[in-house]
Parts: sequence; structure tokens; C-alpha cells
Amino acid sequence: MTVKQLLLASGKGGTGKTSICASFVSLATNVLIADADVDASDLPLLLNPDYRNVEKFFSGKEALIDPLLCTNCGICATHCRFNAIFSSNKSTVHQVDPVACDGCGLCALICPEKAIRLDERECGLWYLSQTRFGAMVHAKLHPGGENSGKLVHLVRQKAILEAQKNNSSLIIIDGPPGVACPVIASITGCDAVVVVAEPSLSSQHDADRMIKLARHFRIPAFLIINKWDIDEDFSESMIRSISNNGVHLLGKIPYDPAFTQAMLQQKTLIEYAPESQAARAISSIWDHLKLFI
Amino acid sequence: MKIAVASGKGGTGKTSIAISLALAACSDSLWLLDCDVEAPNLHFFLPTASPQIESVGISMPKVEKTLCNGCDLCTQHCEYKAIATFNKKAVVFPDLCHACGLCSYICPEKAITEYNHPIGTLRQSTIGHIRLVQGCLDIGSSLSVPIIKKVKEKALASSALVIVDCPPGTSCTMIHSVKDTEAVVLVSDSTPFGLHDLKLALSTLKSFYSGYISVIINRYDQKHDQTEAYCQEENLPVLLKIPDDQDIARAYARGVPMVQVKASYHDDFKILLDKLIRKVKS
Repeated sequence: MTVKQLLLASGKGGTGKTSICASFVSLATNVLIADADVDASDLPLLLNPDYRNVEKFFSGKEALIDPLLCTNCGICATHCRFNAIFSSNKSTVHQVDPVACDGCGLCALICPEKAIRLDERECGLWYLSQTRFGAMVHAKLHPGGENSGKLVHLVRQKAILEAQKNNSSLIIIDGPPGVACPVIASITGCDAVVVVAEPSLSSQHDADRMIKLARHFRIPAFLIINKWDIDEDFSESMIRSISNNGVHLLGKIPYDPAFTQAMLQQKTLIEYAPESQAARAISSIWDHLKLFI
Repeated sequence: MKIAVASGKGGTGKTSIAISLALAACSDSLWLLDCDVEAPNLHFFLPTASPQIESVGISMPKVEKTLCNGCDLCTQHCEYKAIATFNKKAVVFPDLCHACGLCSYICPEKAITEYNHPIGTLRQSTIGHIRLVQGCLDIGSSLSVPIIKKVKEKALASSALVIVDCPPGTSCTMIHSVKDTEAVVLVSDSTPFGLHDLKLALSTLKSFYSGYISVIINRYDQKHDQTEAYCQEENLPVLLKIPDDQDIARAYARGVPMVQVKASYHDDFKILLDKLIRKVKS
């Protein structure tokens, strides 16, 4: 069975991706859940997963200078494109700034004293968990970890394997904000992208960028306007402008404080307030979306 | 003095707060840097007729096929798998390249040269006392950090106040935006997501940052808030609590910063800025 993959994205953060994603998950059947927001993973706060398997994620490298071998010649520092090697009057040898180091290895290659080596960098952890709605693959980037795009890629690969094992027909992916490497790692190979926007100039601008990214990868994009009633006129003009770009509107969700209430109870909105207008809007959006995937 | 406005979670109000700080410093000239290069939004709050635009590129390797003898050294040494040898010729994959310069350095035949490969733009404008610099990543490009560095370079040598609007998250983009500032204001809200991501952002800062860290709780909801109690436990000063005010939300949506919604908000930000400057100087 081929597994369909659905991504929730927004460009701008805080438009409601995770809350809507969790609601979709609770409406779906036979679903596998993937949290691709690896540096601020919030989906577990709603789905309360039972952690079954944890593994370390290694990616990229980091230069280390052996102070016994370094003669402080500085050749490494002049060649480093990332300005990651520096000398200071606190030390008689050069030092690496781990935050700036990209792990390219040029310094190790050119050091005449062979004083620099590259170490594997542990960048995070990934988990296979069980939730009340099905299995979930998620991850946690270590503080300041590099290569979040690669960790997203790993989460998605593991999600596909797990979906095949469980005979799941659909993977729902909670995406990160932005449009760069972690989002690109989230979107490639998806069957559809649902862009969650809210009525504001910022969100419209960032949703437009997300839609352009989807088009760049030839992935069909759909639109949801969240908190649409905060500014009804603005919402309508946004819908007109985005629909003109060939993006299908799935529906509008009203502002509802019950989203936060549900969050406090570690529940999805569908579980917490199934009769609320927002929950009903999400259910009808889900029914609508199912026709396309 | 450089102040970064950051948060783990997106949509907590970083941009709103960065612009409010800039407007509250009404008399002095200052820099406002938009380092959220994937979703730059500051221009909505400071419209300008004609920003000065420049392209940002990285040094991308290019293989001169007639010189390449297929020795494969570049392929073996590239940590990003951005160059590979096919049919005795090296081929570059620009989407994977980090522009480290290793392949052009190592090539014994000098077959690899570099060219400027555009990945985004910088937009600069002056609006009143504010010098705004925005980075904007091209759609489809994956490297945000080189653009963030370019944005920050503009104000590197300045002794004026610099306010940095950071991207959300806790990864390399946030770190490079926050780096070399003297104070970070972490913006959170009263929701469990906001609190959870505040904890992540704080642990990231603790791993490398030595400046002054404080918190603003936006859309403060006294009844459900647990963020303030957490900040107390962690000895994190909460410098401002902004109420969950629909007028602020509606104004924000149309590009009106909160300091222009009510005079009292303007005063709050003026006090906040004074506090920050005093704390950093002490």
C-alpha cells in the first residue's frame, strides 16, 4: 500500500499548525504521526506519547584542536570560511568556536602540524512513541544543534518505515516554521501541503512564500484561515488573493479560546470541545481534505 | 549596545516587540535588523517607498571540465556530499553545498573555481531614526545563516543601539542571530506551548550565551499562566507582561505596532528599554 504524506506548514510561526495537526490526527483513521518541528516540538504536549524507543542522532562534524600539537601558526583561521577559529590572549593555541564551526574539515586538511581532528557531533535524539491515535515519530534537536534538516529527513524516513510496518495509509506531518532547510526536508515527497494562515499582513506574506515553495517542489497546496473572524474583511481579501494563485481554500476556523483550554488538558480540540464552532470547522475541513488525499 | 528579541515558539510576538522597542527609543538613531530571513515581516510595520536592495550570495564551486581529471579527491573530502565524480568528471550539487572552499583548495589540477551564487537579498532603508536592514531568503534556497550573517555585518561596527528580530526555534539560525549581542529578550506567552518552547530557548542560550537574559510574557493570561512562575524558579527577570488585547491583535494584523495602539504601551516600552540598557551597563 502506498503511504500518503500530508504536511502542515505556515511560513510564519504561531498560526496554529500544531493544534490543527493534532485535531486532524484525532479525526484520521489508520494514521502515523510525524513531528518535523524538531527544534520546538510541541505536538507531544497534546498527544502525550508513551516513549517506546529513543536513539541518538549524529550528523555533521566539529573541529577539535589538539593544544599539544598546535603551534599557533593561524593557517587554519585564515582559511576558515565560517570564522570559526580564533586566537585569544587567554590561550597560547588557536581555538574553535563550536557554534560557528560548520564541520567542513578544511582546517584539519591544511593544518601543517596535523593538530586538528574532526569529531562526530551528536545533534539530537529521535523517538518512536505510541499515542492514543497511533504511532508517532518525533525528535528533539539538542540546544543549538546543527543539521535540523537532516534530523527532519530522518524523522520522515522512520515514519515511512513505521507506516509500512503498521499498514498505515497516511502520515500527517507537523511542520516547522520558515521556508529553509528544515521545511524543505519536510516538504519533499509529500502528496499535499496544508498552509495554515491567519488574517495578518505578516502571515499572508509568509503563507505566500510557503505556497511558492510548494510550487517549487510541485506539491499541491491547500489553505486554511485560522482565527478568521479576528478580521473578517482581511480574511476575505487574503482568500481572494491566495485563491487567485490557484490554491484551494479548505475552510476557515474561528478564533476560540478553547484551543488553549484543550492544550492545558493535553487534549486535541476535537476531544476537548467537539461541539465548539472551531472543532466543527476543523471536522468539515478534514472531510473536505480527505477528498483530495 | 545590541539587544536580540528571540523565542523558541513562533508567533509569540517577536516582531511586534522588536518594532515597539525601536519606536520607543524615539530620539536616538538605531539599527533594526530583521534576521528572520525565512519569514521577514518588519517592513509591514515600517513601510518605505524604495528600499536599497542588494543581492547576497555564497561562493559556489564550479568545475572546469577540461581541467578535471577525475581524481575524486574533492568527492572524498566533501563533508556535505555536495560534489561527486561521474564518468571521471566532478559535478557540484549547489543545493547541498555549504561554500566552505575545501574542494577548490584541495583540487590538484586547479580545476575548481568559485562564483557568486545568489541565495537571497538584503533590503535597507531609513525611516525616521530607524535604519532597517532585512534579510530575505530566496524561495527554494536552504541556507539562512549566510544571510543572517550579512544582515548583522551591517551594524557590526556601529556604536548605536542595535535591535535584532530573530527567527523562531533553537537551531543554528537562532544562535547566529543572537550571537554577539549583549542582551536577549525571550518572548513567550501564557500557553503550555509558549512555556515549553521558552524552556528550550533558555537551555539553548545557556549552552553558549553570556549576555543578559530576560523575558516578556505576551498575551498574558493571569488565570492560566504558568510561565511567570517558571521564570521565578529560574531567576529569569520578567520585564514586561503584555495583556491579551484584541486591539493589539487587530492593529498588528494591519501593520500597526502596539506602541501606536495605546500611549501606555509606548511608555511601557520606553521603561523596558531603559531597564535593559541599565542592566547591560551594570
